[in-house]
Amino acid sequence: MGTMSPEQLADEDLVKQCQGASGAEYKRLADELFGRYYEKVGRWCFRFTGERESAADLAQDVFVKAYRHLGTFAGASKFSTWLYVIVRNECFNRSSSNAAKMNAEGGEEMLATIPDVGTPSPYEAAATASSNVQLRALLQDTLDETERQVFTLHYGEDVPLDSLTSLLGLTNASGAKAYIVSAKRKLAKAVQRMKVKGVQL
Amino acid sequence: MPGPSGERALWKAALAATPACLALERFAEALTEAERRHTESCPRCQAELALWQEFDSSPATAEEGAAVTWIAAELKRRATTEATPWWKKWLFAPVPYRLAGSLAVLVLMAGVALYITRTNSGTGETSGEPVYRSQQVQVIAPVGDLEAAPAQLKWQPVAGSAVYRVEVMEVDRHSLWSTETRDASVTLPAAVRALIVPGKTLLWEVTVRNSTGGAAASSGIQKFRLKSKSKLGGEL
Repeated sequence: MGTMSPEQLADEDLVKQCQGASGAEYKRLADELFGRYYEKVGRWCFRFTGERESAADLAQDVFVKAYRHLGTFAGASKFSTWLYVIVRNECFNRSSSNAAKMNAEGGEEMLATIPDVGTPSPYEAAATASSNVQLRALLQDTLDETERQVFTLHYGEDVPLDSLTSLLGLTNASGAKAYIVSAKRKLAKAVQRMKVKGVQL
Repeated sequence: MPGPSGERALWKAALAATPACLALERFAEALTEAERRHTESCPRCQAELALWQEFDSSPATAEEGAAVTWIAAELKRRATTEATPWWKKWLFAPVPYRLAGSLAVLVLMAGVALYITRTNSGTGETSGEPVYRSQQVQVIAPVGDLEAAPAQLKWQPVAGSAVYRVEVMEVDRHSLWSTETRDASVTLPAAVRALIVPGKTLLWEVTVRNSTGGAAASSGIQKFRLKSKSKLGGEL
């Protein structure tokens, strides 16, 4: 049986060859491996930043990290998900630091531009909730699938709404912002109903 | 009612990963029955799964196509460019570039030599920003077991500091709230104070940032806890 060329190898086999190589050979194999994901990672980064030059910079940072840590890939998962975790974390870490910066500077909350849905605010409920489990259940029972995804990623991971519109492939006119507005409205109504029934969050 | 930062902190805490949440690497695999059941009831895992599916299988749209092609080509170009050793680039660069480069190196070396000479000939003192790399920020309060929930975090001011970054965390270091200030104290927002309940330990840390944004000194992780009601000596 002849030796397969790098182009013919599956990702995980190529990783193993990389891990056994060094110098120029390592670089050649890693370039083949990562080259398979240039478009996929580039597309994700473009959706996250909305701008091709910064997306290329972000994607480059991702591949630099992957290049450095390829030796730690143990093969317990697919290479594509291993790389995805790096992409996701790199993007979300930037979101978190930007959000922290906005808060620290006394800047406005990302949602401050979204109309208030009236009282009781869902945040009142959050403030008095005794359990995160109950809050999760409230989201699960009250919001539709897309609203849940947008709400969770925006509040849980600080992902900007513009990025979520692209990352989740939302095609409505207002994108993720519309889903946040409807989510807040539904949560407010749900809390109101619960109060009427005397249910404590 | 909590302010905007408090609202975000509360939802962030509610939506943080739990021990039952799936590792991201699991999304490409066939889920077990338990994992499937968890995902059906967990907004976080549902959102993460949706994101993974978009990454894995969503093609570029017509509007994205040209940009994505450009980014992929750019990544390939950068990978190729960065593979060429600097000395090789230098060796094969046009003569004017090499001459200019040589001149720049000579100017740089002269500058470094001048700096070293001046530094050594003086009193030994250096000018510029204070160095507090070896310093620690001394906290004042809150620390240890408390009778009442604190309204503020306080520490001793550090001379010459540009800004203090303050962070309040759960015991697992999950961040609940953070801010930056030029003062030696911060007032805790109502949403954070609401999290200070009897018996629950919280952590906080203050870090000095210099003018370039780097961390120059830290208080280290501080712990405090509101005493459990049963320990309040019959106050109840």
